[in-house]
Amino acid sequence: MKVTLFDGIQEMHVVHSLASALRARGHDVQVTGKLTGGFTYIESTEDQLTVSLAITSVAEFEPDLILVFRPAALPPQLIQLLRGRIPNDCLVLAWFSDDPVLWKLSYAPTLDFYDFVLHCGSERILKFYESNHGRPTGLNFPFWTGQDQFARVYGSKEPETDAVFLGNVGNSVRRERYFLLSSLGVNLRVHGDVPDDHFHLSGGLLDSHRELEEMAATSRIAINIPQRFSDHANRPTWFEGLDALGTFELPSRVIQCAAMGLPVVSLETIPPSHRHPFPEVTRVPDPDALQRTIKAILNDTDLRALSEAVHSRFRSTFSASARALMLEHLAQDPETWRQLSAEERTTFYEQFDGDSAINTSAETVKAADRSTMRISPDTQRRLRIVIAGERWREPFSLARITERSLRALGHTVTRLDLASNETRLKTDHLGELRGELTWSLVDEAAGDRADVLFLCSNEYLPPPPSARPCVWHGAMLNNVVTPATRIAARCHRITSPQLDQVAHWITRGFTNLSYLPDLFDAEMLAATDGRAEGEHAICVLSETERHVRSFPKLWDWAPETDILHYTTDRISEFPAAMERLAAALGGMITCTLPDPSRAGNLPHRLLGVSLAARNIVLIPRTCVIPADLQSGVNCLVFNDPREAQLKLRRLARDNPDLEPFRDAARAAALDRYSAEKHMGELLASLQP
Amino acid sequence: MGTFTTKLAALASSLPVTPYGTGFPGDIFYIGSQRLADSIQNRAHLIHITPRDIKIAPRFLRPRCLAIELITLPTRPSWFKRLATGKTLDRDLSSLIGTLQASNVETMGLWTNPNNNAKAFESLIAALGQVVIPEPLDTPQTLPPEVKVFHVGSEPYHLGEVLLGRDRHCS
Repeated sequence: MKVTLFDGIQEMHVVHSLASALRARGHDVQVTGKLTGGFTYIESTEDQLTVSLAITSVAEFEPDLILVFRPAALPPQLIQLLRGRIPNDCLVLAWFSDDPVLWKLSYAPTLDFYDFVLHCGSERILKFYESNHGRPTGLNFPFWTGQDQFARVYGSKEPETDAVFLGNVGNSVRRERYFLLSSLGVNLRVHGDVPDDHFHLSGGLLDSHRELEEMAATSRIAINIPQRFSDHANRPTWFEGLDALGTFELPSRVIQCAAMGLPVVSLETIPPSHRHPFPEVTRVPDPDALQRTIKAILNDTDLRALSEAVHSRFRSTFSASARALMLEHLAQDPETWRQLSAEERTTFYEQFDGDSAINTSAETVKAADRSTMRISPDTQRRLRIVIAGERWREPFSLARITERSLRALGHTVTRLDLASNETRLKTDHLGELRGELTWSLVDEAAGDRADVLFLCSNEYLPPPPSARPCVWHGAMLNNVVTPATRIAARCHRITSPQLDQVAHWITRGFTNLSYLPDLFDAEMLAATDGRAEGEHAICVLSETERHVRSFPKLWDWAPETDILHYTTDRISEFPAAMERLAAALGGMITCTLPDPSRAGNLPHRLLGVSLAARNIVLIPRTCVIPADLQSGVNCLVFNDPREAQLKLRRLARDNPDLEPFRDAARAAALDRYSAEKHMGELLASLQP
Repeated sequence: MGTFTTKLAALASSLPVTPYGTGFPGDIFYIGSQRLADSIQNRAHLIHITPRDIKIAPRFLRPRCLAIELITLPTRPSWFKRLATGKTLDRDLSSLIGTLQASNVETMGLWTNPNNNAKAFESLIAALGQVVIPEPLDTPQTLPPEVKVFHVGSEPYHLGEVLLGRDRHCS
């Protein structure tokens, strides 16, 4: 059958693992990806446009079953639009992952638009729906994940602590957890938001599945403290009677731990409304019992056997394969379940055994590219290219890197310095930009008729549209308003390093726009490849000296003699600039500071070449992290000195051979940050 | 590239990471500026209480004393003004002081700025009942007569000592 998984939640592993499991069973699966966010119905024009475009794509796919992961993305008018554009016999289901907390806000108002609902809660909650909606509304479909998302890693490394808690302990609802955990007298750490960490419990945030696996491999047990619905009092999610519905019994973190084989002890002050859905999770009723039980388990229990039992239950009952089987069943028989009692509907999912499903869902892991970058000049057609830009004196400016890469590809490239030619530009009649380029000026710069114009600036208007392509390269897109839209309207292609803005603009119809991070060119790579090992251990990359002072605490754990501060060169010329860059990256670790001189929380523009130089690259979490970078795989993401220290220690402890990590960094850089590769592809896309 | 791995291992082993769970046990609940907290941290076991912890911390921890810096701009945390202004005292802060005093925990204000106006902290000083004044500051004339005043030395560690119940002389 054809299945659409519509939108997503923060825990995208549920979407991806279900897609894999369904595909492994031969289904054709469409995944829209995460379209929107928030827990109330979308309101902005931009979100509605995003969802409308997704609906068009779903209609073209013609699915047999649609599973909506975030009903808030489909307010009444949009769920109606979706239903109107698909065949009548397509089953449209919603999964209520935040059951029943969002009941009032975005579950109840559109519940009747779905054929039925997949709940995520206890018998109490299913009865609550039945009494409020006058009929059984659906079946329990608790959290799941897949082994393709989280590998079974328990016991594979030396423990860092005896216990671990995954979750935030900062806000008013969750702060009590922090003091409770600190008072247990157990050797434990917390992975989550831990402000005011009086007791030094923070183990840092986990930024990738790799880091979650690392967590599970280096702890003996996990502690779960379920969210009590009564804690929602005085919050927008509150409604009368919510507190009587108990707790969120099986959050995603418990299932993730089980997938990795990590035993869980759960503090459940409110008894479950039926037998516990995960009997291998050790449950305790109060903090004293939690303390006693943890100590008893750590001292007296065969943890290997407990891990095996937890993992076995995961595979059979809480795996994506099990959920795929249940979806198949419901697609074939979407009616019979309505005869069942709330209790039967709560445990209905247990009959589907994930172990019996065909499990071939492991994704093929792409081998790291250990090769060096190869440049293949396009000898078939040499183009005459003019780059209209600024900052020509800076060796690593956008204009200069673009120039070098296009030349390396074999094209004839000419500079047009916008600042010094301002008097020759046409005046912008709206007064928003510093001038308007003309093709005659471009051709004059080229010394002949130019084939392509690259505009590397946000402050000048390109010539009016013509048959000759104009590329706005490195565009800074703050809002979809003039003057940026006026520049965009005249360009055949636009590239921007702002990942989030690119997504927003594409939803606005700018389909000629693509994301390109700050690139490096082959000369920069060659210089760093030939570098000598430096005396320093850490290179701190910043745009200016002032920026260094803005982030004084991020590396203050390292001796000053180990640190080299590198500020982007403004005026140094070749070969001095390349030598200085190579020397800076001759250390071991590169810390790329955010670049406050540009909007969008971009990391430092030399991030790519640092990765290509096979450094261990530290990226502050305040930066927008490029999608291809994964902490613990090819970089380390951190927020404060303690977190950086912990992650470096773990990397050193667990990697006697750092080559795979460094190779992964280089492979990511060559794939995503190579100017020659991407300029070549860009020019190819301009060919008629 | 064995050197690289060796270098990282050497650096990692020298990283001064504070071990898990080794935080201070909470001898002193402190509310005030980070600057003052930093200066006395080495002499006293401070739990720097922010509004996030005011209601929860006393349920889990029993401090030796509660010290609140009577601070004026620019070092005042943005939330401080909400806690205590003139005649009004935040309900949660008032509850914290009452709970601790009921358990015989000492409570005191730290008069660290000569430009302070006692009127601005009227309710807070009255609730705390004691004010500590480091040299060379004089006792402000505006303090209510029933408030107990301690003088301590001028070095930051003197404050730590007095918070721990040592090194104080009453004026």
